[in-house]
Amino acid sequence: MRDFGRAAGGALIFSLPMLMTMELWALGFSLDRGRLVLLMLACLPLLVALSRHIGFERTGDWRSDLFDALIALGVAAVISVAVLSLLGVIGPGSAPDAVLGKVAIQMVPASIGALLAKSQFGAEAEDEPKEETWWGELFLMAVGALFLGLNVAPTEEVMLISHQMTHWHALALVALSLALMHGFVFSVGFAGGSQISHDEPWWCAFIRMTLPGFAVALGVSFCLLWLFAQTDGLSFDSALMAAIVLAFPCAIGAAAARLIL
Amino acid sequence: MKRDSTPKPQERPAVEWVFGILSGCGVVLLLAYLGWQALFSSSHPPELTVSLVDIGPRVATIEVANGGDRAALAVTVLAGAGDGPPRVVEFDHVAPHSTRRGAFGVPPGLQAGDLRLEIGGFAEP
Repeated sequence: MRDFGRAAGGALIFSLPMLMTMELWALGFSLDRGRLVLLMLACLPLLVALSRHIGFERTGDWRSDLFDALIALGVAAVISVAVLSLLGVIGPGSAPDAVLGKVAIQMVPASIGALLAKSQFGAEAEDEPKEETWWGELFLMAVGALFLGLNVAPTEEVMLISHQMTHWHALALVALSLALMHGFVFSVGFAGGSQISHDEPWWCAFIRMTLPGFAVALGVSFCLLWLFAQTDGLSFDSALMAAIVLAFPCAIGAAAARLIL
Repeated sequence: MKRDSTPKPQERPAVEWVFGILSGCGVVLLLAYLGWQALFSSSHPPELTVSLVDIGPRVATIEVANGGDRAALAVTVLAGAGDGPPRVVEFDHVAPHSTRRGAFGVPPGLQAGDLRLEIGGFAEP
């Protein structure tokens, strides 16, 4: 029961900014249903993998992870319906298709939050630490990128900022994203940073973790913009500029994944 | 952060280096593209055109295209038919070399040839 409570709390903390964002309400009925289905389909394996890495309980096999992922989706659905109803976004007068779309789109961040509940609420220390792998680190970076990216991607501000920027600004933003990513985890020395040995030079960690991490952040940024229909009708250059803008918070989220997850 | 038990650089799996170098190539390409665009791309102001995509019994769909190199904000399209006042459709932004679609209501039986479409105005970011 306590795990359910934690999951509900995690879902609320993670998704509250999105539950109160009007662009996401509009996407609930305007977003192409094919993309919405794709978002839900991509969410399930992500949740299973997240349950394996973090989860709200220690699991023994993939079946348990799948079960936990489904619980997270259920908790997310309940939280999304409750909060959207409380805010008057959905009600008896709303069209069923619009309600379904609004709830479905909110379930994605809320279910991630439900699975991250343990780390967010500082559960008791684990009896034995999980083994860290490079792929696992990259996966956590992707989740960290989603953590911040989901909050920003549906907003009009991403597009507006990309219109205000020149290519010089974009160059500077990419350089800053890379520098901050590297600084966050490898130079500043936050607890929980990726493993680096004493004799590993900075460029070695930069190639192994920072560059792939930025590629992951940029990929997550592109995917989110496409899923939220922000790239529709855009030229390649405009879509790239928007992706670079969103990659900035995604890169920070990816680099700080070990801190915030 | 630093732990003595971690592997030395030469002990890292090759896949980490391969993926890292591929990512680095991608980042270099990205920086080269942005640098090229910053140095050599033109910066023409927005060139907006509006066209009719489809006209149904009650709704007409229009498309605004921006052929310029800069974005246009608060783009207004004036859609008139007959002697009545034009209807105004506003697009919050149209990115450079991109298109956006919108729609407005029309009286039943209106033909495509009866519509007058023009750009009312826009603002620069």
